[in-house]
Amino acid sequence: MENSQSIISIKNLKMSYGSKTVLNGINLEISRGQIIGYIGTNGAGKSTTIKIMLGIIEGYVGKVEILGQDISNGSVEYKKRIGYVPELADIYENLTAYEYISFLGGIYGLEEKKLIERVKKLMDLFGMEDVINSRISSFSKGMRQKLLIICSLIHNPDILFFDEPLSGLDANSVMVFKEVMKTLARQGKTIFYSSHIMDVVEKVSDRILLINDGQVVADGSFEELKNNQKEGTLEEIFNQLTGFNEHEEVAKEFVSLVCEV
Amino acid sequence: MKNFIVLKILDKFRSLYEKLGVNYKTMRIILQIKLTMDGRRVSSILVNSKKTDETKDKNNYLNLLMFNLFISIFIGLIINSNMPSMKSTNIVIGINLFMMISLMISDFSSVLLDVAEKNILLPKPIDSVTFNAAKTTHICIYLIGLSLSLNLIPLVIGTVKYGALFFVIFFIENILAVLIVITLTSLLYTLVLKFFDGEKLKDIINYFQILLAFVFAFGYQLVARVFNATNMNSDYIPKFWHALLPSMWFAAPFGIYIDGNKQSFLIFLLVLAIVGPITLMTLYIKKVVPYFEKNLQKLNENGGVVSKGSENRREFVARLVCKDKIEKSMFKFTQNMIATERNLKLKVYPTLAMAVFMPVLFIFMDSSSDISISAKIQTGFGGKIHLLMYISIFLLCFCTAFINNSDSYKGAYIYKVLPIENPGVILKGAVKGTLLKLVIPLYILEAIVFLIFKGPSIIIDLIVMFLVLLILSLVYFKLLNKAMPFSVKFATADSGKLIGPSLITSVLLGVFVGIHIIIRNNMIYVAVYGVLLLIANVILWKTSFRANWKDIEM
Repeated sequence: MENSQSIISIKNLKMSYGSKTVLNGINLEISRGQIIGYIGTNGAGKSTTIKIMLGIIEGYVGKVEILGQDISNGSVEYKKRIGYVPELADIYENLTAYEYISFLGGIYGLEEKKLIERVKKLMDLFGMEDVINSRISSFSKGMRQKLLIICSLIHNPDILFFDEPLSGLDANSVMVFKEVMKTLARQGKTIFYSSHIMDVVEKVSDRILLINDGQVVADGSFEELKNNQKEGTLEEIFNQLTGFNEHEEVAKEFVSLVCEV
Repeated sequence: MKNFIVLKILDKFRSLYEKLGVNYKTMRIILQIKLTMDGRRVSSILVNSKKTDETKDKNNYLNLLMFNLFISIFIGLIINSNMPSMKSTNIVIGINLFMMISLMISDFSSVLLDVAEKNILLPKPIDSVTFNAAKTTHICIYLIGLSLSLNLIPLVIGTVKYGALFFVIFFIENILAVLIVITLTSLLYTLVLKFFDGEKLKDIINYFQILLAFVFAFGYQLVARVFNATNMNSDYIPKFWHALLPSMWFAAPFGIYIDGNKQSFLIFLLVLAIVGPITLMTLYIKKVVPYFEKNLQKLNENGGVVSKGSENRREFVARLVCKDKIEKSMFKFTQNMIATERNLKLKVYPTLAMAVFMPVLFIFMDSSSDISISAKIQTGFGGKIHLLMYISIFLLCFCTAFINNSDSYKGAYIYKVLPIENPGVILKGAVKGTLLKLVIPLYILEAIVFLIFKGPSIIIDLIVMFLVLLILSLVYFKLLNKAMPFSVKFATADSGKLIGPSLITSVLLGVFVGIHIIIRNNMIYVAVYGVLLLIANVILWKTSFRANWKDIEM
């Protein structure tokens, strides 16, 4: 495995939908074994960045290299070594969990019997006993999310893209999952973690990237950001960097409008 | 997971796929998943897991096959007739191409233009060639089944009549025809996707469908006209434009082999029958596939603000047709949903287009003499040519078919959350919304055209026809829709569920038309008929929506 510093390298990435510019020159170098907290306001372009890296969105300008491969070269080789938990639980929900997993296993070229055994154990650990043969459509939101997390890991990928992975998980599972992330990172996996829950990002990330208006406006560990901005929590740093300081006024007006019925 | 027989047949073509650069193993897995899912149906999150739902979708496809087999009997008669085999096969294949194109546009466009599954499949190591091969093959499997079922009886009769070679040629041609249909449609879609962006693209796609339906309806007319100049048994006279008709390519081998026609033009057509599909396929694989997915992404882009029609006018119409407040807001909601629901439009718009073109087609078909078109409209069909609008009505009254389907079917929980006492009001609002959005404007447009040509004497006829349209639309809706509007997910081969209700509605329409034709020359009878229809309408519309929450399939 390449020990070169950069496992993900993005150079001057730009993307626009029609006339609307979403990404305006993103530059990134990410090395192995890091957990990257990727944060930004709604519509700042977080999911777009991730989807470009996954090859879902094409038509960008700039250069994106993952595991040393320029992803625009058409080869899907790098996708064998990445995992993805989507923000919205996109999944073939009229399949059973078993069918979906064996489908993925077939695509990744994994041996089915071993895979299912492993997945069953993984599901048990997540508190999902005896549901592997149920339709995914009958799953609760948390169960779906757990299944998606398991699905993103079955092929033991080197890079993980988690887009709001905790949504719907109960507090116990959140604790398990956070620990799993830390352990995976220690083993050399790179985790790209996008979320709006600031205190989780603050705790798990080795490095935090804040994007605003399609550009990286802050990049560094939480400690570094704190020293630069002289603010106490990531939430406050986020407010400051995105130029937002009137939450009380906004809330007041919001409530007064609600009461106007 | 089930191991499908189709896939085992497909395995025979493995090396062909691999030669095209497809990762066959991956494609097979994707297909297996898709076929498994097609056999199931998620109707809405509110479903209390009913067992009956599981087999429903399969049955829809089976229904379509059975229906095609039934039609196939009549097509078989064409082969069995005394015409030269080149003429009969030309007509049969022409019909087949026409049916397949219609199905492709209305039922399978959504499969071709699906953007949702990209989010699931593309992060996995699946290259775009394999991804597209899976998609195309998926459609192929359905269309080939439909094509063969439609041509089964002609195939049997032809084989008995002309021998085993007929079987081989005809069978292969059926498959080639499907390939032509798929490649041609995706080729055309690719062009549209390439030249347009965002919101505009979403509108254009639907206009494009209308255009396609139009072109093919008239193209099919050409097929019938190839032999028009000659009479039943005379020889075929080649014309150069015949080379543009795929059905002529496919008819040529029979002309040579059965009719013993040795004209060099037929050899040319025969060569086209082989070269044409191959060229199209190559073009498709080399030129279309690499760009299709990239451009398809454009359908996902949110182009910002949706342009709004005049709010005042809509409010006025809504107030005019709906008394109840809930009904009124459902009315407006339905119109907004129809305007933005791409899959619904994909299914309904081609029918709408056909509804407008069909009467025109019939006017042209009446080509007995060289009189001008306006004269034809004046005097054709015994001066009652406007009754051809019943053909439009026949198609228009089916437009409520898919309003219980939606891509955002999960939003249907609102019906349960909102304080709605009487679900009938919701259905009523939805039907009215659909009729005023899709059906009535077209009817009025057509009525005006006929009025201009024929003068005010036909007004009573037009009103009677309108009343028939209202009754039938309602009857069809009642027969078909037991779920709340926009609450059921679209499924592949959805049209199968329509056959039963469509047949009943068609029979009813036949009765109404029959009465109208019998009394057509006596204005007073027609007027009385109109009054009776009006009363029937009032009663039906008053009584049809007394639904209870228990009657609603959720």
